[in-house]
Amino acid sequence: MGANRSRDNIGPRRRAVLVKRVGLGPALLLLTAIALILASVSAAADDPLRALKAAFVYKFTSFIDWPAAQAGTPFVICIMADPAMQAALAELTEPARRVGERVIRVRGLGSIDGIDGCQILFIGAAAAGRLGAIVRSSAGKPVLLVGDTAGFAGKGAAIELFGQSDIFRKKVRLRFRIDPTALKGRGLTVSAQLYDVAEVVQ
Amino acid sequence: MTSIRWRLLALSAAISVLTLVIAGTLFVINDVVMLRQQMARDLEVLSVVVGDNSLSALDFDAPQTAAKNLASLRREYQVRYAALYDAAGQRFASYQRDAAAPVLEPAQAGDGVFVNVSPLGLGSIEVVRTLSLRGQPIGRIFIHARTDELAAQLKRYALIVALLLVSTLTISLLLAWRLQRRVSEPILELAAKTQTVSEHADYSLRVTPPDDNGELGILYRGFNAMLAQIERRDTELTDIRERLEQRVEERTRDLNAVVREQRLLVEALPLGIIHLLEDRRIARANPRAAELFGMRLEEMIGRSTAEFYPDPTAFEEVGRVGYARMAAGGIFRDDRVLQRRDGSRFWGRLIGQYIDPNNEALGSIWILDDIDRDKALEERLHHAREAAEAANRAKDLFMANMSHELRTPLNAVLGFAQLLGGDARLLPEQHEQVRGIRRGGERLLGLISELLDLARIEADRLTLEPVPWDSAALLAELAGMFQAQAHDKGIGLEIADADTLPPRLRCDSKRLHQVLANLIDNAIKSTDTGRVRVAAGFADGTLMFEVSDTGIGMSEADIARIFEPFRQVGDARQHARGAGLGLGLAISKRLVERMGGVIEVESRPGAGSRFRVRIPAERLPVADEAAPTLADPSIIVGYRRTAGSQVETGVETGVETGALRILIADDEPENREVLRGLLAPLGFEVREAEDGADCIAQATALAPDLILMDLRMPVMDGLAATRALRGQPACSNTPIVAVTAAAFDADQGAAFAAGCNAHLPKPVSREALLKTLAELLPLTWTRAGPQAPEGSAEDSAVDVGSLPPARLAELATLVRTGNVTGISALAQALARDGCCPALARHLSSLADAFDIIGLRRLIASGDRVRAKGPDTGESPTEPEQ
Repeated sequence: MGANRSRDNIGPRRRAVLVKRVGLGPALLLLTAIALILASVSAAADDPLRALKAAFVYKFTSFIDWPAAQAGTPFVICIMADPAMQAALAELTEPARRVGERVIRVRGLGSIDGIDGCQILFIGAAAAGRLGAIVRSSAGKPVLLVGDTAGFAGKGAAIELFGQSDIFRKKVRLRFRIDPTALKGRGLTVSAQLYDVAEVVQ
Repeated sequence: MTSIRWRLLALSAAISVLTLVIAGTLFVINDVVMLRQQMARDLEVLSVVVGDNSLSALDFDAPQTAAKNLASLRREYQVRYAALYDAAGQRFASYQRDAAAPVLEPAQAGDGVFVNVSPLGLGSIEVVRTLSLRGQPIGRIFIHARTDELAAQLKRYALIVALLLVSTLTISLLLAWRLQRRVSEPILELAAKTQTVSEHADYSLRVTPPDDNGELGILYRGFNAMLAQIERRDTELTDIRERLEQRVEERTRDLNAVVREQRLLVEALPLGIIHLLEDRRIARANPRAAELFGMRLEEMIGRSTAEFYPDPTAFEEVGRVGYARMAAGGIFRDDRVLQRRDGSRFWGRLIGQYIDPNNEALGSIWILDDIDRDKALEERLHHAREAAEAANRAKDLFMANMSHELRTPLNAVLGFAQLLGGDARLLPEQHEQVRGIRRGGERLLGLISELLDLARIEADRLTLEPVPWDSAALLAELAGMFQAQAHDKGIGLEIADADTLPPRLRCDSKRLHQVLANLIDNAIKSTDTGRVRVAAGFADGTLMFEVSDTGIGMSEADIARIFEPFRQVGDARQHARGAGLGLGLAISKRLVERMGGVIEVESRPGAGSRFRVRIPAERLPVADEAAPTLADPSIIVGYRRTAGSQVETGVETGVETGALRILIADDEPENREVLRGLLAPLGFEVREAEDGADCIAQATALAPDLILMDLRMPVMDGLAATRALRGQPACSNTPIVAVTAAAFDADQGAAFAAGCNAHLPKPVSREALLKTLAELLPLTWTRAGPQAPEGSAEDSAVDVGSLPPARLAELATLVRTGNVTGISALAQALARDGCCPALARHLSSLADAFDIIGLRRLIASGDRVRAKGPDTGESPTEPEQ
């Protein structure tokens, strides 16, 4: 896990208190259980964060600027190897949403060849192996590579979505990592605000 | 601290303070407002910036990031609290400057900047702003800031301003202090100098004016000018005062001298001088006053003047009347009987006057004189005057009596001479004798008249009777009068009237006639050869007559004396010629002068004399009332009654029949005779009374139509009788004619006063009598012509043949003897008998006229029937009147 720079109200003190109250053994047990759950969840096809992820993908467009030359053309979000995410993202088209003035189109992408017509490419877990090729083929092109597979951010994807459990709130929060180097030279301008909210990969 | 210096300073200070305070306050306020606004704007900007920066945190649900964002507000010291709310309105993230402070919520619901700052600057500003992403609100940002720092800043600011204030005030005061000197010092100097001048009255001080030409300079120069004027006036005043004092000294000296004089006067005056106060008490008196009352001067002071009046009512009267006159500003004079201390009385003359009528309190000054002696003199004077008046009255009485006494017998003499002369039985030498008697009598009458005239003139009893007269007639009359006389002497008489002589004039023609007659008479008398010339003329209201003769003339010595009474001029021959009493010229001169004219004479012995008379006369237009002619050519022979009117009431009565009755009252039988002789022939019924009582008795019984009343009668005189008759109703209107020898105007007046209707002087002239009768009785005269022509109708109507023979014989006898009285009586008898009225009247008129010739003719006409009577010769027809 990356450095946790965020600080929320429930700080380590509280956690410390929790451990003190419950006891070390049971705490460990709980944590394991949660990890397992999380893993299973992540492995399962039914991802409770899927809608949220889709929303995040959409929200990213508010904080990233694609090259001005593309103005007037539809904003294409391509999804590779994740039909559930594609379906979730497709809801963005009904009703049709926009990015600025550009109408959002959601497309599934089977091969790397059509990558040039995508503004955002969501790479599913199934296509995790092809990441390197995707990265190489989209190098220098204004395509935002987004995935929810762990480690994507270090491997060339710009944004990696991941969930974080918030014990005190009894929920999992969706967060993401941004790799600035993956965004370099692509012609994409990313707002500082996005970095503020994200985990920035060094 | 009311000095101008401090006032100026205070003024400057006040202005400075005020200005600075106002300015400072305004600036502070401005700053407060500005800062507040600035803060609000800043907060707004902050909300935008921080809000925008928190969009991703809100969008991606990253409260920590949001909190981190908000924490950046720490830089802003005024922000106390900030919070982000999500779309649901839940607090998303917050920031608190002071961790211990409570959590704040936005006060209002909506967006906006909410300023909640007190006037002092304390309070909060809150901003609430909705954040939107992709066109949708995703949350709100709330920032709460406090203005405490603002207030602190304000305080600092105020402090600075205060400091500024003080410093500028000080500077301005200092400046003002220095500058006000330029204004206040001169003024203070001026004030000080003014005070000095008024305290020490030193008008020689001057101030040096400042150099500027402003108001101060004017003030200073004005001050100097005023002082100069005052100094000048002061000097003048001193001069005037000195001169005045000098003059006062002089006047006082003069006054003292005058006072001394006056005192001497008052002391020495032989009159008493008394100063009375309002209550009539003596305040001061002079020695003479005390002397008059027989007391010492000291005793008089304080006494009331009442003590000096023996009669209290006199005192009261003087107090009332005298003081009233004095109060009106006048001088009161009175003579009163006063009494001395010893009770003796004397006549005093009082003269009093208020010192000031408008201020009676000052009192009155009285002058008192002892007029006892004067009174005595007055008495004597009074007596003397009374005696003189009595003497005068006695003289008048004497004159009247003398006149009466002289005229009465003369009346008889002349009357009877007249009658006698008419008697045809007289021999020629007897006629001559009668004529002599007549002449003598007439001359005597003339002399008496002259004397009386002179007496009257001397006694100033002459009244002029200006009447209209005919100048030609007068001259003709004069000519007629003297023609014969001149002819007898063999001298010519010329009467010449100039063209300038008007035909009709008005003046006293009787007196004029008298004068002219006198002059002409004298002229004829003194001329033996040559002529007497009478010239008449008129110019400028002055009638001029000149009587000149070629007679013996007069010496200068004579000329000087001729107008004196009782003076005869000329030689003894003239005396012998009976030139009269020598009163003619004296009377003429006085008459002329009385008429307002002058009489002059020029004469040289042997060269004749010339007398000139000039009298004022009024020229009359010719068409004036017909002047009564001096002589009516036709002769009255009878009368006819006319419709009479009562003399006084003017009531018309019917024409009565019968003769008019005339009652003659006179104690002298001769006088009665004469009147009867005049009236009876005319047909009047004549009755006689001897005295007043008799007259009354007869009048009462007879009721005559007219009474001729002699005024001087015994028993009862004419005046008394007249008054008595007037008292009786039957005779109250009967005309009474006063007949009197005294011809003074006073008697005439008395007669009229008693009730007489007319007055006739004795001797009674026929004409005057008839004229009076005509005026008083209702009749008209019947006249005979101047010459009854022979064979006239009259004659035929009056035929003696109609007479009964006895009467005729009687008439013839009467005619022969010339007894006109008898003829008149006969005529009257005839009239009474009603026999032949025309003849009777004719006889009456002839007899009345003494017309013997006519009578004889009348008889002769009858005698043609019978044998004529012997013609005894002509008897001269006496001219009537």
